[in-house]
Amino acid sequence: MSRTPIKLTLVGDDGAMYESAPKVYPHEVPGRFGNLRKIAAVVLLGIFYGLPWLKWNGMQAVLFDLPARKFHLFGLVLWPQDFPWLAGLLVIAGLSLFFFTALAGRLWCGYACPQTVWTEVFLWIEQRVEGTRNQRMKLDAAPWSASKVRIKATKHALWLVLALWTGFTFVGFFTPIATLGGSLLHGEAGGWVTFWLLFYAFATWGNAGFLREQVCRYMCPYARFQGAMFDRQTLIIAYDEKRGEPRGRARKDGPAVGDCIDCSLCVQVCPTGIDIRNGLQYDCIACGACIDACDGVMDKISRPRGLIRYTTQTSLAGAATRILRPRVLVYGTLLLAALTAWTWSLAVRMPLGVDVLRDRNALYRVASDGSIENAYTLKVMNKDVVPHAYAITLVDGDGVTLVGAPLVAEVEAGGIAAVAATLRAAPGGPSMRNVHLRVAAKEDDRQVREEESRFFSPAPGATR
Amino acid sequence: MSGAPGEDAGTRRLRRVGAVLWPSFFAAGVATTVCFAVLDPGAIDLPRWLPRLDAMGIYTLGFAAFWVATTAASAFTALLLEDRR
Ligand code: SF4
Ligand code: SF4
Repeated sequence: MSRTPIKLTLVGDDGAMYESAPKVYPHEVPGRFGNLRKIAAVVLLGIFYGLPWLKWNGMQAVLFDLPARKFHLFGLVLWPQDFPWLAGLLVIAGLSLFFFTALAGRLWCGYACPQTVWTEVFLWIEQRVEGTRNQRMKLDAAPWSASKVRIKATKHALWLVLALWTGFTFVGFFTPIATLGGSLLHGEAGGWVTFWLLFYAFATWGNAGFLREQVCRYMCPYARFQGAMFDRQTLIIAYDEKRGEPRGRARKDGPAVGDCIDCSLCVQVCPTGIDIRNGLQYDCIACGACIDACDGVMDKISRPRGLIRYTTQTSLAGAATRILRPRVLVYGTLLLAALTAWTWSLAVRMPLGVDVLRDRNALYRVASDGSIENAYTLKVMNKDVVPHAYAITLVDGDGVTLVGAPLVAEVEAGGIAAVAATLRAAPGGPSMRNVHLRVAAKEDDRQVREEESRFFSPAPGATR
Repeated sequence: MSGAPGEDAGTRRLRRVGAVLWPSFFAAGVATTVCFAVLDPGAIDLPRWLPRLDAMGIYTLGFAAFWVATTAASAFTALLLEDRR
């Protein structure tokens, strides 16, 4: 693995990066990456806001039903016992992040991070209500007036509606959204649900409306440790110093200058308020706004685009970039292995769970005919997407029989049934025997589970 | 953690509060998930002095408790890393 250190300026290393006013007013410019960002935002937000409303077999397609402790994922039902799959999913998500970061840098930050996406939407509203960068700066500097109050109130009202809807959608992933909507309309939603709705709405409003780039700069762990996944071949957004410097406007008899006309547009558009011309910085979320801005400038002055562009440090230094390098291969292999293992284990997962609980009150009971009986409750969980009837039998008799065998349990899809079972044996057997109960789906012979339990008899010689 | 030059006090405070709150929030979220994947809130015997809580209430309470703990740990770390002048 290449260990060439790459230069990343840490936030605050360079005082010049800070302007005295910490508030950033990003300028809006049209361009390829801006469009790409908008498409990504529409798709991702569409998924977020739409998914809870999607039905699957008459059920909410994606529902992390916390009160019922069941996760519904497109017909698949995960129970708390299936927690490893959820953990596996998180591992896969983490590995993907590693892989894509090594390959293409902070794609996540620029296009997919909720922080970026919601900031983008809040900013879009702000721009519609308050106007361009200059108008917004002027408005903030102006003394309070009726019109300023009106403009600010409009913006916050729109933000608030969006934030509340976001909170509502968020909670809708955890409790059935249609029911939630109804109970909210009738003012009878539960206190906790309301609390989480407001909490998430508040977090959205604060993060996307106010904190914005500060989250990336000061709070986000990923922004800090991404340096460990970068190398000189990682795709970054960079300013081509060789081509741009010395910056400035060309004068007839002045010294020769580079392509950068020092218009500072790239700084004005940057949502984190940095100057990409200072080199690769932790603060850069790789959103591509400065590329769009600079490309527009280059078009105007008839120079080739790409003074700021997606590139790698190797290629900036004039060498060829290798895509397949050990780091990428290692992350890629791990990711592929995790994905395969996950999918495979889910595919062969038996959609049947069985718990055998002994009657807590008595070890055994002596029936009127003198035989010994033990009572059990079988919890039969149908994790399948279709209802099933299960036959319950006793595997190895050893003198013990299941009363009324075979018992039948009919369980709806995603349901759980508690079945009372009684085992019986003639008196005089050993005081403890291991018994095995077998639960088998009637129409699907692959769905079989055997669970062990104990059968107790009075100790030989004891009277009762 | 001395501030960067040019950084005003407000930014510095925000930076520290953020650095304590957000990672601890994240850790509390993970801890809550793992905890309640194993524990069924319906099967927990809560102390009598607590008001009766439904499952959502117990999740919320559990999360809050974890967050208090993780925030405290993060805050102590931040405090100990502070330059002593
Ligand atoms: S430097 Fe460019 S790519 Fe990086 S955050 Fe600023 S505008 Fe986006
Ligand atoms: S937008 Fe391009 S030309 Fe303008 S200052 Fe930035 S790098 Fe220079």
